[in-house]
Amino acid sequence: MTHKTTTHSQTSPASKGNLIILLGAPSHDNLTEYTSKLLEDFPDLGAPTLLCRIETPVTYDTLLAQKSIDPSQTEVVLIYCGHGEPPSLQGPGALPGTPNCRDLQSVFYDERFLHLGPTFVLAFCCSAAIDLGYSIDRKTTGRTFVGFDEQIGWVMKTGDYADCYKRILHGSALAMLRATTIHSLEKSIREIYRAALSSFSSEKDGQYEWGLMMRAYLRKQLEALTFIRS
Amino acid sequence: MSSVAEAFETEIAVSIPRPRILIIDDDEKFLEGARDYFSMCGYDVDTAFTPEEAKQILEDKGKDKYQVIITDDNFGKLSKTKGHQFVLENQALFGKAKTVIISGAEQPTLAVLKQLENAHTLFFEKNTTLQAKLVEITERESQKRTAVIESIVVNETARRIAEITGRPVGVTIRGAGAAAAPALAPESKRSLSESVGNRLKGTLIKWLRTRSEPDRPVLAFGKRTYSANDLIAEVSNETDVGLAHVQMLLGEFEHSLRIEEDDSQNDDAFAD
Repeated sequence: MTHKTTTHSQTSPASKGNLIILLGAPSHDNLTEYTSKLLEDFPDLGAPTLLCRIETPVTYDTLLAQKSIDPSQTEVVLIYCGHGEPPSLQGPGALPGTPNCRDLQSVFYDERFLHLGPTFVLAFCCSAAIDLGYSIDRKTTGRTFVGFDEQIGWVMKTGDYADCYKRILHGSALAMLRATTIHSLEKSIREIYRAALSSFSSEKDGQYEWGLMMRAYLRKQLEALTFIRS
Repeated sequence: MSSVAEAFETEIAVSIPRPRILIIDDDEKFLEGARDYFSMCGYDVDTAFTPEEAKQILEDKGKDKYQVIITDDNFGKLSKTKGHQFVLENQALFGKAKTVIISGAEQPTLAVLKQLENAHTLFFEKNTTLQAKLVEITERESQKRTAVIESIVVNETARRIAEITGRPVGVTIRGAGAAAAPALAPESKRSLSESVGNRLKGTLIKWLRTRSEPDRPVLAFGKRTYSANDLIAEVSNETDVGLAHVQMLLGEFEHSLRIEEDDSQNDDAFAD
């Protein structure tokens, strides 16, 4: 089995002392309206947390400025839940009300912003690991990245389905902050996925109408997970 | 049947959905043989003689067209671009394709190998058997070319592709000791493959048709959202999205058959 794990440093990145969690929640089409809700009421991660609902085009540097975050003084944990298109994390492409605005996307973060951090990136987006993960691994040090190297799927249902995604997001973020090695991080997150898969096991298909697709998508995410510590 | 073919008899197994492969090599005979072989395995095959020609193909066809790209590393007089340079400098064009670089020359530096690893690219050397036998036998005994390709390319390439893609390339290899086992005729095997593929498509469509709100967009894949009826159309028309879902369904079946083994392997892999 190939573990899509790369690491330059086995231990946790050194701390600048200040840590802030940025929950990047673009909300501009059906999927992102769903995924943005997954970041609401995010459980405590042991550091100040800012939910940034992104409904108009914005880039990472502008968002930091808007939130008065100095990346040279503060370590940022970016948890981004939306669209990805190599080589970027993507946000809304136009102002609300603009024709076809729900079909348009723009770059929120790409390698132009690597010098601004974040120290930790959890990218719940399609294909974020393909180019962006590669850039983080190649061009930075002391960073941690968790993302997917393929297109991923979602069952956009509330209730147990959404709760499952929330557990994955929170558990993965917590693991990213606590893991001392890249391998313990990978092990922790894969365990979270296994627990999620078992909660939608085929025995429960009578309970969950979309259980089959949920398993298929979770397994696809599990296969596409990529772990990087530069 | 030649002795080589007897020793490495191949049989077509289930091969769905039909993936597309791009093979880049300056050796025309290799390309011709590889095209024959991988077509037989169920791949749609495109070929290019140089990285430049391949780049044009990728730009014309769009990314995500190919599931697998195999490239030579050294193109001799035809191009100064190395295969690994081509791969690293054009990642955006490769989409989700898994990439294999085959080199008959020395390996690139460790730093380059590291970059290739990060780009999910497998690098391996052609061994002397692959090089020498292809040249020698294809030139002297052209009628045996197919058998040689079966025996050598299957060994050196197909297994690797199966490893990195996580899906069978549609062949199993049997040695001389197993040659007596019964084998279906190629036509029957292809028919079986198509039959299984259609059954999987039918199973998924049938399952989607029984959803309670067939027009409600409940699913998202990539950038788009889909209702059950949307996905039925994707599967019926065998679009990339539709076939990806058939493949995921196949993955679910595969997983249900080997879950205990996989779990134990994972535990071992993570042991401190």
